Amino acid sequence: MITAPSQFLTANVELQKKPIFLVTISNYSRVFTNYATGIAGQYDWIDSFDDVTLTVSEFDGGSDLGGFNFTVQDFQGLITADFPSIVFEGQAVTLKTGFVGMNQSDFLLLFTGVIDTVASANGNLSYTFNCIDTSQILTKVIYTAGDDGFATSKDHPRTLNGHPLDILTAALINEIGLDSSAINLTKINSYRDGLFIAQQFSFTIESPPQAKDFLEKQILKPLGGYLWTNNEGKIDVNFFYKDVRDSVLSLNDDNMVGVPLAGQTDLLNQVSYRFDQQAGSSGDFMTEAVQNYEASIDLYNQYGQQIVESAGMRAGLQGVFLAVMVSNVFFQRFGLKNLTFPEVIVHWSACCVDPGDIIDMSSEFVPDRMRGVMGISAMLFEVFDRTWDLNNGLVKLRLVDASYLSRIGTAKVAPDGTPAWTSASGSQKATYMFQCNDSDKYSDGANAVKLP
Amino acid sequence: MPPILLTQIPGFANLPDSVFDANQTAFGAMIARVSENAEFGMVNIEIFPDMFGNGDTVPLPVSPIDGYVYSRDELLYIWNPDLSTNKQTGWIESGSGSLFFCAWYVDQSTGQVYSLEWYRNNGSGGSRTQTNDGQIHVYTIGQRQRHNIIVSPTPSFNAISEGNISTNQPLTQSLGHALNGNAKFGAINREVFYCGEFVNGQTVSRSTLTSSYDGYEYNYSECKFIACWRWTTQGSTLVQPPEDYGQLGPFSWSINSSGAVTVQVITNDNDGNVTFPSGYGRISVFAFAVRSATPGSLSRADSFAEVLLQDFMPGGTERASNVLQVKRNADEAVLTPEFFGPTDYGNGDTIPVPTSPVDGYTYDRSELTYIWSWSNTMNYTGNGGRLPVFYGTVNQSTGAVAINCWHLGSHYDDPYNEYCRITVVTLARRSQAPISHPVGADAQSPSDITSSTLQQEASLSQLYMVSFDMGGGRDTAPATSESLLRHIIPTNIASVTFEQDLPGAAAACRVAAADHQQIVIYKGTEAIGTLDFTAANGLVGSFTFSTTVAFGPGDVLEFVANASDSAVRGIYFTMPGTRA
Repeated sequence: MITAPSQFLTANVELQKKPIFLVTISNYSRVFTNYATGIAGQYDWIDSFDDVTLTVSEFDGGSDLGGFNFTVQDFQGLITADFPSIVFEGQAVTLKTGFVGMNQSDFLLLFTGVIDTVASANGNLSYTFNCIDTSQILTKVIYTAGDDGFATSKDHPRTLNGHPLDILTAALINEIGLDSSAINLTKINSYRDGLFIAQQFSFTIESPPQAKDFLEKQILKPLGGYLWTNNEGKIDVNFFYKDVRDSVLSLNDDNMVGVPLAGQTDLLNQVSYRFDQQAGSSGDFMTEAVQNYEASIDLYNQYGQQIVESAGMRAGLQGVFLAVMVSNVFFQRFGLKNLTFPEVIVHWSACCVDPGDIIDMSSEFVPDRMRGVMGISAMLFEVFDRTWDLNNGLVKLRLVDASYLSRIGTAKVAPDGTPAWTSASGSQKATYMFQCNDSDKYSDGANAVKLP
Repeated sequence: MPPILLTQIPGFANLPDSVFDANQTAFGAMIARVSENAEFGMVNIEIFPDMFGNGDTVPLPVSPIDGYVYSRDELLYIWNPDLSTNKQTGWIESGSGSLFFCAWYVDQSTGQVYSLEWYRNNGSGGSRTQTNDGQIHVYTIGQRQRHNIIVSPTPSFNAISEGNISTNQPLTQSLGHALNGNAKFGAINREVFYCGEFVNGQTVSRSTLTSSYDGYEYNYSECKFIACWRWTTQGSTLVQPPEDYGQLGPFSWSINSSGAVTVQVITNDNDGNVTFPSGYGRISVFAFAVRSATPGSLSRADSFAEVLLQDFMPGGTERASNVLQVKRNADEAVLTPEFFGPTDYGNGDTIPVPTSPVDGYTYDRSELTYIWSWSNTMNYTGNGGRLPVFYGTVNQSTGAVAINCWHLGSHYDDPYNEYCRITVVTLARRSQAPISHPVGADAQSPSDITSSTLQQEASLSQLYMVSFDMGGGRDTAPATSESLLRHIIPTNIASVTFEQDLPGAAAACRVAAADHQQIVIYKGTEAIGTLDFTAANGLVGSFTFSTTVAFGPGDVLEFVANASDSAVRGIYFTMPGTRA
């Protein structure tokens, strides 16, 4: 969820509103808008926007932010006249949005990137600025020096041993050269110290890889996550395994445009993790952990497989544990041909939603195949693809069932001295984890607390 | 108990206690990680014994417990030349004399096995033969991710009351911390180190006993040392011994409780004299280390069982039975594997079945692996003699030790096997899955060993016989102090040596003694042995010759009757020696 000023959030609740967009280019005096703001230096010359689409490849560890393209009228040839004094290509660009009457300091930052190209349009009466996000830098080849300082090769390997998310951060900063402020370290470190705490990978690199390929396939994919670029232009991460499970937005028949067409996820009930890669020319994976979702297999008698080949995972470093854990969240989302919406069109009030966010949906027009009825209520979904239709003020989302999150627990470790279940207070029972019998009950017959 | 078999390969994670601090989310994944650590402690050290020869490469082992395939950098190789013989012939090359010097090795980075055994014939200029004889017992020690695991801070073990692990009990901070600490401790509290190569007088440095996990430096008292022979020649460099060092005799090593290394190699020079070359012999040292923080007593810890990771996934429950199993797994991991020894054993000994000093568990033979090394190849009385062949085995099913160190005097024999020793460290793993305990190809001593294998030139031309016969016509016994024979060593012979116990010597008489007739053997005026005829032994005489004696040119060997027996008649004998 994009962090937004409270004034923006308040105004954004309204369903009927006109978004204002501000495009700012570094080292350039003109700010382009789609609305006459009356502010000096701001020019309402924007003709149109292309949709801004972020497509997530959730099984491949990556995503693609298709770019931010906007077309500006060359009013009285003034932009043409600016060209001799500025090189647009490479300049930083930001896109902010707000509403009429709102202080621009409360506008929401939607996009941060750089200008890639500037093309003539509309019979040379306009210019289309094509902007890209910072992930382009991930095409750089990294780990070019082996441990001994020579060029990385079979005889001069580069070894990496540590937490995979520390390896990710180190690669972004030390190998690619990003400033730490260009990385969402807060989220990365929260996962490193949270759900993925104590995970360890060990690589022996004998050929320098491209950063994007290495980070996506060798770090994010094994962890059940993906790289993406957030609104601040920071390299960010999302994982299937959630440490934040609260819904950030409630969708209903009022704020959705039309009825979303329900679909089924592609079946995924087998995950093959291959790891313990041998150093040397063979590169064989010595361990393969195949996880089966038996409930799904029994139900459909069909198979859908995901293969993860990791050069850094080691069985001796809880590689199997990671395979089981990540496979479990895959199965929960995709193992039962879960409900998915390839495209849900929502009013602009959903503009703050980010990929990876959990939202809930209630609609009487959506079938619930599990229960065999029409209508779902406050069902949890995870956001994957997101498109901003800036021209029409709409947001399009691809959603995948995340309802399993509502079935897992939130219990905490109990302080010493906490009494046994039968003597515990209601508050303690609601807060802490208690051990149960093999029938998943306590001695008084109460159902056991669920594990987070 | 059935062998432990795991369906999921466990691993290690340095999980901090803080994840179990009060009011932290009680993620099932964290208990699962603890469970993984506990199970990892059960497999972190595995041993794979097998026999190899020169040029072989030890293959990457596969765990019989969970199918884990080890990588080369996770392995250590302890080796011992169980048999010095050629695997195909079961013996030494005919006519090659006796061992000259040897070198054995398993490359710790590649697993390649080397065995170099040189032979040499007697005397100055004796021919030399280079071979790759030798059957090498390699004990491959697998320690998973031993170079990659990082542990900080060092965990400790804290006893857990099982009363806190039952239905209705909360998952408390103390319980979580203790489970986590115990599981991590059980994963790293036992290690095997390769300490390097040493010669006589050096000391194993404690820096080689430092854990790569957390930097913990073991005390000597926490370690059990065993050595592998690198070579028997000059300690500093693998070179042929000089000509005048002759042939190889017994060699021995020991390491005391302070890590001080003693190595000795004895040779037999060209004159047949025992010599003690300074600085000879080189060994590789390995240490089996157990942290002193390991609890001194525990309840019986033999109820390990796999806990499936799926039991701790989000949405499941925290069953007391699972938590209890994790606790018990960690307890057993703390004692897995146990190391016993090092203890020296001789031929005919039986290695006893050990009992854990911590929880009283008595091991079954099938749960044991005997790691043994020649600690002394003594093959004769005194300082030993030429060592042509040695071989041995420890019977896995019975613990019986059978070791043979042959001796080359006038001929090849092995009547002195009571003198050699092996040092044994026993590695014990409860409910061990069956592992192969191979033995080398049997040594095959030729049936006519004294003639068929003795190098002709070396044997016949250098034997030196002293014979005597009173004849059958004399009808009196030797008189008291009667000199029966004086024998002077000729001046064209450098030396004559009579070996201790005079192997091959024979004596008899035509009429048995009524009581006792003794003949004293002198070198000059020094009594060096006796020849006795007694009524009990009838017509057969027996020599007593307690030490090897060398004679030079002109030295006199004399046989003088001591007391006189009234009945004995017609004494005759042959006393063999070797000349140079």
